[in-house]
Amino acid sequence: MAAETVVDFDAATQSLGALNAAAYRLIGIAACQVEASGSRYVCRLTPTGQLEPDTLRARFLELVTDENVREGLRAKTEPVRNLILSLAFGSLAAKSQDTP
Amino acid sequence: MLPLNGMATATRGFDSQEPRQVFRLRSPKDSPEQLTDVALIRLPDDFDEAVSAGFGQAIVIGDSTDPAPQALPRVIQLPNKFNYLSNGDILGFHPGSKRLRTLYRRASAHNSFLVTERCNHYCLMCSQPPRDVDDSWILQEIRDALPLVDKQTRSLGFTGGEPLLDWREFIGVLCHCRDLLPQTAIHVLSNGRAFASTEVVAAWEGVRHPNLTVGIPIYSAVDTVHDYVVQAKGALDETVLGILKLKDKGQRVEVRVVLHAITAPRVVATCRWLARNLPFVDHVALMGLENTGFAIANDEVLWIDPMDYRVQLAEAVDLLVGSKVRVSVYNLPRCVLARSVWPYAAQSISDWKNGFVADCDRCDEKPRCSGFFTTGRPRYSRGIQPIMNTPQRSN
Amino acid sequence: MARFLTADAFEMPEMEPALLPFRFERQQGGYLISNMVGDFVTLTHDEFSRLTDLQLSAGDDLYEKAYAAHLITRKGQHAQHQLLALRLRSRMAFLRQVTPLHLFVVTLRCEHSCPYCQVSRQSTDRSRYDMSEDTAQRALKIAFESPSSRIKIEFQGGEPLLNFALIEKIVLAAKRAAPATGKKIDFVIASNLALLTKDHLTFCKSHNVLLSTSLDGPADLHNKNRPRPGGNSHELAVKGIKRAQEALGADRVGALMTTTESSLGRISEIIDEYLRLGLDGIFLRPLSPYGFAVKTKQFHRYDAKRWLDFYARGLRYILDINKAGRHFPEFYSALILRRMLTDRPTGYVDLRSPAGIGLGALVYNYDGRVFASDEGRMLAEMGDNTFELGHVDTASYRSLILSDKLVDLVASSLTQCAPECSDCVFEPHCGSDPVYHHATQRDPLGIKPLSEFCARQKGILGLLLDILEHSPEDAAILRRWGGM
Repeated sequence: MAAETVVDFDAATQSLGALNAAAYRLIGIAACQVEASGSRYVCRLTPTGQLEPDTLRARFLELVTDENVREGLRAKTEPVRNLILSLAFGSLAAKSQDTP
Repeated sequence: MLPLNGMATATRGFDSQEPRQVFRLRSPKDSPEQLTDVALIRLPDDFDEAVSAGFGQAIVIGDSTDPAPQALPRVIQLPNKFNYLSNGDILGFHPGSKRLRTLYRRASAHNSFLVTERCNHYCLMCSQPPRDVDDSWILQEIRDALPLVDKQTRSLGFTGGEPLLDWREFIGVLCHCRDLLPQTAIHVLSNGRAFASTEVVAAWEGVRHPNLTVGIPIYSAVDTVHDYVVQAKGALDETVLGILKLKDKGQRVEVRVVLHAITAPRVVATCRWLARNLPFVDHVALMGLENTGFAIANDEVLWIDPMDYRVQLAEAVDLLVGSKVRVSVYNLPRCVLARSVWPYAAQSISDWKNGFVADCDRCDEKPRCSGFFTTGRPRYSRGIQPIMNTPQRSN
Repeated sequence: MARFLTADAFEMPEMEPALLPFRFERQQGGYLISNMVGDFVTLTHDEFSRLTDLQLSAGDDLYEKAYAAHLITRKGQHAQHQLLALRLRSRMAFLRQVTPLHLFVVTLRCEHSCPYCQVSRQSTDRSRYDMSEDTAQRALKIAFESPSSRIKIEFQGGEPLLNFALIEKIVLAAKRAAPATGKKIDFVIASNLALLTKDHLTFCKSHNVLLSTSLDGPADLHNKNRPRPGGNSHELAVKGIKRAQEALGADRVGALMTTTESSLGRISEIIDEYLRLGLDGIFLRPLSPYGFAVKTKQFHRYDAKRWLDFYARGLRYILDINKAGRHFPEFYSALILRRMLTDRPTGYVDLRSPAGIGLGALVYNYDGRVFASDEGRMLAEMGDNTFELGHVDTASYRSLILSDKLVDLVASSLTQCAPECSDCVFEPHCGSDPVYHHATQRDPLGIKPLSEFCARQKGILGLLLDILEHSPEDAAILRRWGGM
């Protein structure tokens, strides 16, 4: 039975969505179980292969960092993304706007 | 270099209060076809010829004097430097100041009408520095000249300043071109910003000209760089919008990139951007710098030896060609271009300001080469040398 | 007096920079970024933090790189929005040509007995395993209902030449009907060429029918994959290719290879065989898991890593051939490169999102059943009808394409909305493969970290990007392929 690595995060500053997304990317490398425990999220990682606990932990933290950045980017760019998508695929206005 | 502007040395029969007028030059042997036709006189005998043919007015090159002044009531005398003028050419004349401009030369492949000297940009290298004057009379002069232009003329250009500043009037002139000169391709130079307006694009499209292209400069993919070169904030954003709107309506657009110390080091990035974002433009012209006008004032910031961007230029051309974009290189002699670029190098410099240097006489590529600008203060690359197509020469 | 402003006067701090949508992936030494339309940029760790925090300004090179790559814009500007929207529309323009590909399985009979093919050996009962004329007519009617202005009719099998009479009828009927519909029609026969006759060639020539065959490599390799009474599959394929090239022209004959485990160590020999026969390129594709693999466990025999190694060696060998002066593209790379380097759609139905099932191709089986893809048909032969859309006797084009079944399959496999895919730096150049993921994971979307398809795609894209960035001579060749 492979050893379990436990990583926990402050629920006030770490979103659950990002943890789940990081866990998703680990599928095939490690099983990840995320649960809320008081004011913290606890992640239990069980490698499916030969991965060392330290490597797995470092990898998971990297993935979480990246997912946090993705979340931030998504929030910042969602309005302009929707604008571009609606320009591309929304029913095109008969007249486009003149610039000032 | 051909002087296109000048002053009459003398006139007869013109009231200084008369408005500006245009003339078409005719050989004294041919009879005048309209009131604006004048006889082109070089030799004393031409006077009698002109009178017999029925001319009432004449342009005299040089010192020939009229033996019978009463027969030809209106005469304008020009200095010898205007000896290049010939049958079919069109002049604009201002009696008050005795100033004249050569508006059109029938024998030339490079005829261009200056539409205005006003501009909403102030490009660091502008060869026609803007002046904030009321020169709306120019459009009228053009309207007067267009009926005199030879119908066989292959192409005509319109430049400025910014021709679209008075877009309603200017587009009206394009309609005249369409009607009077249906066989003549029209090439307009513009910064393109007027086309960010749907109304302007609709009017432009409404001309339904059979062969109309607008040449629009883009100096960089980056707003701060382009805006700096043209000295106008917000320029790139509007220019790109203008290009998109024009192409959306199926209008012909050429993108021009003038190469100097600010634009040439980044030409690969710019052309990569053009290939990815505007691959549907009809043509891209990469252009050597004309060292005149503001280019002289900004020499410190602008001068770069073409040899120092030769490699980047070749890569940029390669990129555009690979993306199936039509590309030409203008105003750069073959000796400073990589051989891979030669098929795209055009003989682009207007004849009246085109010349070569002494070394060029020994060059095998001279017949195909663009040569140099004779305007302003020509600066020559260290790479200028005759190309001898001997078998062992490699590039 | 002329007055000019310096460069810093155009830094425009009053127009705040703002981020545009982009995706990223960690890689050696930094990050790989792609913008909304898939343009790639590599950044160091430091540059990446500065970008995400908008700690950049004109003149620091990062600003210029990010602006040109549409990673940043400024508040109040509009051109980049329009450019990205326009390019997105261009990249999705393949949606305008709905179902351009129609496969007619004219017979299930075949005289080969390939271990990875599920059809074979039904060589006796013609009526049972041949498509009837009635079925063919109904299928053709449905094909003509597709809105695409240009359609390709591909004849498959079994071995389609065994029912050539029907092929002739379909081609003639299609050509008769085409003018009224305004559609252009292309025809292809996918055949092992073992039974190719002069009459077949004459017909193909007069009706502009292309021939596509299989060539897995040199004789021993090809014959091992494709057993035939007489053991001469390769010999007949080669003869067929040569005769077809002569009769129809080399540009009217193509060959596809299938990679089996035996192929993996022999890529240069396989390519040499293609060169020897004057073929104009090669399509390196992995073995699909369907009829073949599942039955014979072929697809378990090599995984993405081994295949990628095979592909990388093949690509290297092919690039060297090109460098020596012969134009010989690897067609799958060429497709990917076109996606990466231009916004022009490729028309390749197997790598797109929304998926190409139904929307890209329809398969009319010999028995009248209609499938969303050829692989979907093969699954049905093994008892899995997930990709069966209807029957020519009862269905219309609309009922097939707008069926809940197809819509659900397409909708649930969209990469644009999928976990990991929607954040993947390669997504603009990839696609969904609902049939593969259903076959291997019982789910049209699949869990991508477990997907060999995903591993392969990332490997190919990464390799091509690496070459484009670091090997100028090879990159020039790749760019030429991408521009084709």
